[in-house]
Amino acid sequence: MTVNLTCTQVSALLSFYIDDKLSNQLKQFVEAHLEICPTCNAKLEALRSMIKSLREVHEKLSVVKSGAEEYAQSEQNNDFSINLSAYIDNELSDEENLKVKKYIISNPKARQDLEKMYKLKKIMQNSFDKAKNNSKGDYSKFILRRIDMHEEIYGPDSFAKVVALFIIILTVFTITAVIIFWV
Amino acid sequence: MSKMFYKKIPLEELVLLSQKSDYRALEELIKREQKNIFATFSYLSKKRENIADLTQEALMRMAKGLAALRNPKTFKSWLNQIVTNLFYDELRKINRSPQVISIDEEPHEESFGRQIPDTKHKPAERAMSSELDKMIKNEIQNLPDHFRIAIILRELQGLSYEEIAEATHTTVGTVKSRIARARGRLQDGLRHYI
Repeated sequence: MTVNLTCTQVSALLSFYIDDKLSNQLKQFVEAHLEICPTCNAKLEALRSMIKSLREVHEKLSVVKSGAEEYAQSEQNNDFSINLSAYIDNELSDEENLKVKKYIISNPKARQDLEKMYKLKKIMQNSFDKAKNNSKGDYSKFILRRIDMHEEIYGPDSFAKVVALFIIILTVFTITAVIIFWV
Repeated sequence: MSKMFYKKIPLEELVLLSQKSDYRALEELIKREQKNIFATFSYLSKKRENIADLTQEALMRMAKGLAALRNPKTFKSWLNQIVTNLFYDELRKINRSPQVISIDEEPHEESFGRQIPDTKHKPAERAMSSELDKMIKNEIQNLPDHFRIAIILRELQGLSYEEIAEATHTTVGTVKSRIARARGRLQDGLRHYI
């Protein structure tokens, strides 16, 4: 036997239906009504999405809470600022990276610290660029000259020449000595 | 080949050519790196009169040692190793020799006393002011030696923690903590500008 429920009745039952708190029979009656009634169907969807977003907000709140607690704790032993510094250098493992991201999203103090670090980075880089542009000296010619001198004195070519000359002199000297000895 | 040709060559190729005794490539390589090295030493060295000598020495070591560099891709970290070694050499020298005061240096230039925030200018303009530059340099130079080299290799040279660890003969964990602590001190010292 099927009982045709009215829209008002179904509306009253919807939240129990979502929570699966209805008896099998009543559930069937509600489903039968939902199949033919777009208005109640829309109500069901609206209720579902509302519950879903409420759950999300709740989850976010608990993350904020735990994040804030963890931040306060970790700040004490300085771990977090070390990780935050490594975070902006992109030197953290994926897991640590995610953890820091979570803190930053949930904690305004952490965000402030991060912003300060970025600012410091920026002014340091500006300053360094300026220092680079201010250095006017050109060392290239001087270095090349010094290397040239170095090669001339110690280079393999000149060293080979000196050795060859030495061997020739030695040979000539030996031959002369031998000739003189024989004569 | 024209000078323009060498100016357009990417760094890695320039290193390769220099290794093959191409003097014009080496000249261009020196020209490209000298400003960077000079600026780095201007933050690393507390003695202004040493900066030019240190830069020259680093470039000389680079030019001479280039042939022995096996992988041109590691040129940047290799060059920074030279800079780091020279910095440590200088530290040892300073510790051994009596202090020399430069006649070029203005007295009390480095002590700024109290920091007075400049609220007239917008942050971007303020960042450009030379006073801030002096402050930054001063704050960096006042960092402990190990912190100073670590933060400079990171922020100014863009080296990874691993490369810094290698250059300074320490572990990645130590580098991580040194950089964080250096940042903490700098933020504190420059709090009115950040």
